[in-house]
Amino acid sequence: MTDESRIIKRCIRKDRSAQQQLFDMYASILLGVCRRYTLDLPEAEDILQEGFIKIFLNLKNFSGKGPLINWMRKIMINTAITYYHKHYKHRFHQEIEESETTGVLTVEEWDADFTREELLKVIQDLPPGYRMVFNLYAIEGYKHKEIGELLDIDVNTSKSQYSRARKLIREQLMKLEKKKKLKTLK
Amino acid sequence: MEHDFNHIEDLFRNAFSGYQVPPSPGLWKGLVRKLKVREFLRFDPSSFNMYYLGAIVTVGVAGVLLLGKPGQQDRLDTQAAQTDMLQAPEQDYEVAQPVQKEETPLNEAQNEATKAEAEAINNKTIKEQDARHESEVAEVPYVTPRLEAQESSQVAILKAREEDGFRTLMPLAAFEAGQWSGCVPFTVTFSNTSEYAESYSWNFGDGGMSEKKEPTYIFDEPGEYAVTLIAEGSHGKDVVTHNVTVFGRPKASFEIYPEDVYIPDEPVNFHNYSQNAERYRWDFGDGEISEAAEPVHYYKTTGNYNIRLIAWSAEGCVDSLTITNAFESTACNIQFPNAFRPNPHGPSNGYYTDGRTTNEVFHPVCKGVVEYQLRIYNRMGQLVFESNDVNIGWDGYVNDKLARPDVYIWKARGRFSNGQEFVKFGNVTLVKSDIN
Repeated sequence: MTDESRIIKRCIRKDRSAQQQLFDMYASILLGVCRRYTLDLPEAEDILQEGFIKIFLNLKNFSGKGPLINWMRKIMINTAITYYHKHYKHRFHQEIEESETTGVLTVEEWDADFTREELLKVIQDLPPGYRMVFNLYAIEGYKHKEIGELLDIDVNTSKSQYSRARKLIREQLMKLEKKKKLKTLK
Repeated sequence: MEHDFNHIEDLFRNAFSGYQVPPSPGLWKGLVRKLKVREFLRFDPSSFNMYYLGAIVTVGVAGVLLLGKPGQQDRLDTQAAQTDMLQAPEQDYEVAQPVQKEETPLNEAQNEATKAEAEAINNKTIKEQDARHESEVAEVPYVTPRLEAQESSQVAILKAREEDGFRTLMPLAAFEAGQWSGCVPFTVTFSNTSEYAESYSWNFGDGGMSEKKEPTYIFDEPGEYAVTLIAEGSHGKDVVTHNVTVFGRPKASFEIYPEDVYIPDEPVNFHNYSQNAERYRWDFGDGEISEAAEPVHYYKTTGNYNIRLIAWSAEGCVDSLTITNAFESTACNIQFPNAFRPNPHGPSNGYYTDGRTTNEVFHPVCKGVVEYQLRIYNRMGQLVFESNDVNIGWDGYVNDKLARPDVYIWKARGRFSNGQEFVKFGNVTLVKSDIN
């Protein structure tokens, strides 16, 4: 029996110290997941707490297939989605402007090395809906169909939001790159 | 397609694989607290315990009491129940809870009293149970105050977060101006309608900058300017640009020709040299106006006139120019009557005095004439009279004989005091006098 599965067993028995152990092991990596979905750290920590509560309460349902971390990550993402639904979805509802030209995609080569903080800022500055779709599609690798179901939006909405999110991101990155070049010139 | 646009995705996927954020220190404790509440609220047969039993008993009893007892009986029962068993005070207490607000303080006091009278041991258990009820009843539609408070504090925190979320939104830069275009010098007061922003920086497009929230700016050169507002908040910044168009003013300019005008016969010509203008208004200074570009004006009387030209550009910008005492108006002038009636009693040598109305001598009314020649011919073209003196006219006699009544042709030429020459001709009717 591996260390992890022992901890899981103890967690199911509501052993606080085991729960804390599990928390200590995975909190930072899961908070990293949450962070991408949120505007700021407090929000991310809210989601983390909520997610861990779900994890602890449902750990006995964990099938054991696949690594625990993947299961926990999924719970975090779902929690983030719930959070988004609760706090943002309708408030930031945006009309979909039809048929935005997808245009010819220019080759994207980024000379500048962006730090993770810069990229995080780019993500968190996105409108909440775009942020969700971008995270789910680009980083998590969900399909638009799945995203549509998760976010309760149309598949096409997911696609168009994604392309617009992408456009916004590209603009931001280009600005950032320009700024960096200027700095290095100085 | 999938292929060539994976750069952004790769960029982010790489950056965030294994991304870790250490949670803040108090997080675990908060988590445990929440977890306890949740675990508690989650009904689980395996953890069925005294709490659940107590809750079920309480709920059951409360239900029975609510159904079985109309309100009025309540007090009597309470008093009567002094010697009752363990359950009596508890029942009362439970009923008192939901109805408490409507009941008098007296009743509350009675409740307290009954409680106090209960046996020491019983009392203890009741209190314990009561305490538990407060939290356990949450399973049932009644929400006890303490839990409510807990919930509401969570709600409050969430609300605060939401508001935080609003405040920490990306700033939205936006601004308005009363007018986006105007004539130079164009003064604009910008009203800032940005949201979620804390600081602003303006670039007016002509090198001018401001950090004010709502600056007033004067554009003193014509042109098209891109006015940029950068609104910065704690979570980023936003940029918005509006174009401001500044029109050049026209330049009103004109000359008068001639500089010396013989009024009222001669017109004054106005030569318009205005630039960048397409609409004009002339004020000739004598009460008359014109909207022609290059008007010609006849003044009726001499005098000093101030001429004002207002010129408008296509965009409605305006300029004006006033020339005071625009020209020398000379009242040089010569005019001839078209009939006269000679004195039948003999020639007068043609001398006349201005102002006499006898009309016996044909002569011009004139001013400023320095050179003068008048010739009068009859119908056959014979010269009947000639004068080189403006003060001598024709008395109607030829060789001391009265000419016969007819139409005669006259021609006058000469020069005015200002050097202007004149040539005039016309005809005049000699009217036969009544012979008394």
